[in-house]
Amino acid sequence: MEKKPYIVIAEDDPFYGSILRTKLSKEGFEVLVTKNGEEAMAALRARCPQFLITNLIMPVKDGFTLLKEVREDKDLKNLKALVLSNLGEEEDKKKVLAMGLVEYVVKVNIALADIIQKIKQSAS
Amino acid sequence: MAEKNQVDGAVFIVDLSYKITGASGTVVGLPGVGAGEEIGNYYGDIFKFKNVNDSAPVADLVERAMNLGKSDFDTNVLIVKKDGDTAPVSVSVIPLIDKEGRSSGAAVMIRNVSEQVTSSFAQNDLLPITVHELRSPLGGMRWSLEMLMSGDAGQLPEVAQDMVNQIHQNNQKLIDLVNDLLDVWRLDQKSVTVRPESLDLATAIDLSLGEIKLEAAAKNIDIRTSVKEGSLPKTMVDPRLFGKIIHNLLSNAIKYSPASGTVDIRGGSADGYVTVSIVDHGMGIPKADQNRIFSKFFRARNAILNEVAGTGLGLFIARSYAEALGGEICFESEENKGSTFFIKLPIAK
Repeated sequence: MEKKPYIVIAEDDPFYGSILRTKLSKEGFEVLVTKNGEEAMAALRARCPQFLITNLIMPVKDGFTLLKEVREDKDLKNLKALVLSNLGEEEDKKKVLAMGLVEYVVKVNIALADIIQKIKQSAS
Repeated sequence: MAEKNQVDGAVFIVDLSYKITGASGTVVGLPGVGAGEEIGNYYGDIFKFKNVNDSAPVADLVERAMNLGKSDFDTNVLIVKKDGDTAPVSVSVIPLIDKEGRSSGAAVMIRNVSEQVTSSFAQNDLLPITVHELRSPLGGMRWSLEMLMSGDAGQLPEVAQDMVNQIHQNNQKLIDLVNDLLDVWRLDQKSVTVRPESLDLATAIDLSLGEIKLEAAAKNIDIRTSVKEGSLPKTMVDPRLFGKIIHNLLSNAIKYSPASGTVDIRGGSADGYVTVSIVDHGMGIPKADQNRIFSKFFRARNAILNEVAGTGLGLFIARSYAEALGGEICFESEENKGSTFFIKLPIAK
């Protein structure tokens, strides 16, 4: 059997975490949901996934810092990522996109089916 | 803090050589005026002003008002207090004339606005934070409802499906409302960033159609587009702003159409401009309301009477964004026949 693609999610809101876990598992991904940037970074260092999904505003370590550390890490710097945030400010988006290999989506403005489709395209 | 019932401000009168001839009042942190000590002094020695930004200095304000014989005011002034600290004040200058109608000086009013400034800062910060906090649960609900609708929690009985659809529609209205509030806030703050790129409008229209398909399906509205990739010259637009214009106009077309109606998207180009039109066959806009429909919070009478939900912000935002892109929006409409909105945008050079 083909190995499942592995996705790490950094999301402090359990509501979103559980929706993404359920949907992506059904789509055949192996999913690990972590609660903040620090937990996510530990998981990424332990095993590099095919794809990273992160929120921006999170306790302990936020998504901006997580992405910065990922880009500075020699083993993780090429990891593709998707930012799923409800921050809509252009400045935040610009800051994130400047880090490279990352897409930015405002959660509330996209249908679940469309975001899952996007993740499937990017993570496989 | 000024004592209760006491105006926190001062008024003084200057003659033609800018010397104080009379004064009264108090500004927090400044000595009280009106004891007579300031009479005869150059007003700038008693009231030391600084400008918050690069606007004209207060001296110019007083001088200009006197020279032009016209009242003037500046709400962005700082007054330097005795301890060197500053307080925000507003300054109004009213020129005075004598019996012969000649200029004789000016009355200058200073008002401490510290509290107003603080509260407007608080309001400014409050909105984006509130929008972010509202979006989180709204987005979570949207996705959960979509899971229920797509059968992720098992097949729902028909009655439950209807209820879930209605909750989803109402949730969507709240999402649109908070998004609109954020857009209006950005427009008010003049903080809308425009990042134009050369774009085939068909791509952006397709994206908007994808976003709005559930709204259209709920009323069984057929949206047909004749704008296909390559059918229009490329246009310099910010995709986010253009997407929002199309979204708002399509959302209106759906809302004001009868169930099972049709909406058409057409495109054309002439004289250096691309025009996209959105045509509906709905309730139309009454003649009497037509010149006000782009005003913030305005809603046409028939829309209110027919209980069509809306905030009155969509067209205001659409027009503001079209103008930010160097274009314009206009419309033709007849009550009970329908409306056509035209978005005109400059072709990329």
